[in-house]
Amino acid sequence: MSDATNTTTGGWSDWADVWVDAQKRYIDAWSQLVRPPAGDTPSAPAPAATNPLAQGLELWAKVAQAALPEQSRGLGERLAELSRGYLQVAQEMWRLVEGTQQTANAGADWQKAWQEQLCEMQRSLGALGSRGVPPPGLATFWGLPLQHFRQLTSSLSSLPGDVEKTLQEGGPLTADTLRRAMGSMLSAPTLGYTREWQEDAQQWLELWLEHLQALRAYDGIFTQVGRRAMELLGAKLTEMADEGEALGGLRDAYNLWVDCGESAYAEIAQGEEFARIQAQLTNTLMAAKRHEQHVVTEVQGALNMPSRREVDTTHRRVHHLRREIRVASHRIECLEEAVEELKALKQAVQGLQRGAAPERTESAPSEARPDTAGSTTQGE
Amino acid sequence: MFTMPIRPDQIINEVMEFNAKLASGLTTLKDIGDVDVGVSPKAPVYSEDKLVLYRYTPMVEQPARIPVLIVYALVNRPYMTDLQKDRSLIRGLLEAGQDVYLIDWGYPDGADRYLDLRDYIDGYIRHCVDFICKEHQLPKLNLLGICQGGTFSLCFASMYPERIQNLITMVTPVDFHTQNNMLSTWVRNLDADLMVDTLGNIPGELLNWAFLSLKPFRLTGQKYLDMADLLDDPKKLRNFLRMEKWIFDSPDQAGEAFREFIKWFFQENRLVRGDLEIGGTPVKLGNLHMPIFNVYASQDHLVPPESSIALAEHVGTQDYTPFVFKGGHIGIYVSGRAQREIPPSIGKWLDERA
Repeated sequence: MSDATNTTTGGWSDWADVWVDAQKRYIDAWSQLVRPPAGDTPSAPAPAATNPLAQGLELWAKVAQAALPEQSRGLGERLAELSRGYLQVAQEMWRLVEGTQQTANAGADWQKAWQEQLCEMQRSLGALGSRGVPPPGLATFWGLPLQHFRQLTSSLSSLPGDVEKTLQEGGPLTADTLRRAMGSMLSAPTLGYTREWQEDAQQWLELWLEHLQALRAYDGIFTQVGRRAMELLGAKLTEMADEGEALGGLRDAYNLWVDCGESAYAEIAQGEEFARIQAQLTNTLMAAKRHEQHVVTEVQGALNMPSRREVDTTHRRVHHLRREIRVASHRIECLEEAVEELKALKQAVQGLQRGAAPERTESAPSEARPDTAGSTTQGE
Repeated sequence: MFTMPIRPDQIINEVMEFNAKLASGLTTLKDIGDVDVGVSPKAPVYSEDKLVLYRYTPMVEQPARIPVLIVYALVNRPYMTDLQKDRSLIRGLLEAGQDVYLIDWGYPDGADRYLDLRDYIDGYIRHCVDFICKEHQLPKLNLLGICQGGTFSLCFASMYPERIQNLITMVTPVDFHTQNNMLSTWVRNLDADLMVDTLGNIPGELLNWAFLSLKPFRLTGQKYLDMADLLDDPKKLRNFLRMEKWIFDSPDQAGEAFREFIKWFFQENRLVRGDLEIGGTPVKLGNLHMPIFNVYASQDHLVPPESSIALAEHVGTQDYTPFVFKGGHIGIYVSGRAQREIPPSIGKWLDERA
């Protein structure tokens, strides 16, 4: 630690050198934890000098996952992801201040140098959205909601993996270019014996294209969030620099960036446009999946296999039946209670009759007798 | 004078410290084992389908005569109310002398897809209320609804006011169309019919995505960075992991109930509009003439305080007590201040109306 500090204050200009040292210490600390018993040679790869940051983190992630008990692996993965993001934040911040310092040392105006470095950061963030893959650095976390949605999409879709990513692997691809590429298929007339299948396939493709467009719009709005957050961060850092205020450290810088990110996000995410785009993302996914279900149901029908639709029908009928039974049971309970009350009342009336009979014989009006007798008779 | 807000050597040092902390902290993570949740002694007393009604063991010799039934939301698991010994709303209520029951809704599966709000409110909740009243030979009980469970409790209390002695609502959405209700704004354009017709039950992961998207930078990044500071303290790490377990322990939502809740409450705001019906029975907040204690959180990002505060405008009772907690939607269950403030206040309020 002290070595690094001394070296840094001596004027490091190469991030990689600093990082090699940092990673070495980090890996040393880690290897204390996971060192195998004596005689068992560790097989973990050594960090490559050309990309020590990535190598160090990948090494960490791999070894950590293997060493952790199963219940902690999920958290280990998150920590690995977090570590990558945080260290990239550090790298961006380091570039910002070191770049400013170098430019200023060369005789340029401090503020001008600072603004240029900020603009450079913003430019690098502008790459976000071109292919939907967050670039390294501050933008890493801006991609998280989109990344999570993509993972979710994969789990909800009949297509394997991340459909959009798969479609884009050949290079930058938009819904429009895909539509052009697929134009011949989409515009082909549906004819003959397989007409319905062809229509289904065309519709399926149309629906996925609509979803891709929605994904792109969602991606685009996060790019807006990223740019706005960067503006807020730049303004805040410049204000601090102008007023001679200093951040407590990297964590403060990170927290400031999170605050700016949340502020920018809140500005945009509370708007009607964001709500519309986000709903469209879900609605188009559901429409595509619904169509897939329809196709699968047709296939199941052709193969004389049970389908989801049939299972749903059965569940619905069972549910209605249960509800009817509940209502009927409740009515029976009410009736049973009423019967019990009636019995109690009858007993009470009989008791009264027995107690009052001699008097009634003498004084009760004659028309009361048939009722009493009738009720008693009935009761018997 | 232009000063750099941060020095390069600071960055390097912090990165190295962070890495060292992470590496050494992994030992804690390696040995942490399973985390336990739900700590207060309890026993199942009634069950129906996947629902289990629990009764907690009273902590005083003579608990309150009228028991409290806690109705939790469908979207997360109710053990949040009893997360650990020093973070437990239920323990606080027990210590305050209450006799506490809790509904655990369980995890709906495909066979529960057609459960609707009538089944939940006029079915499950009513059956639990009937059971408890019968056990205690009482005509009515105290109802404590939390979040969506609070909304259900308002509906039930409106439909069966004669069964409720006192009503307590916690972080409960009432008016779904107040300003700054981000979740409500997002949901308004959602095609709930298409969603339920397509998915059947709504996956818990989808709801989690929506909730995490409310504050993506804090909830998917910053909090894990903060966690790195806890890695060398097994107790604090365990606390964090309990919360983490709860957050991602999201049951799927029964399709029809989800459809109705989204459309009737979020999109159409029927509860405050006054045209809500559950199973054909009108639900009118004006029917609520029993004493009401409304707890809300001033920094709630899920249920904005305005949404809960609106209850006062619509209820018929003259005995309405608002209680503001300075914190968020989660802090209201688990923060140390919440433990000191909320259960004793509820206990005192109930005792005054026993």
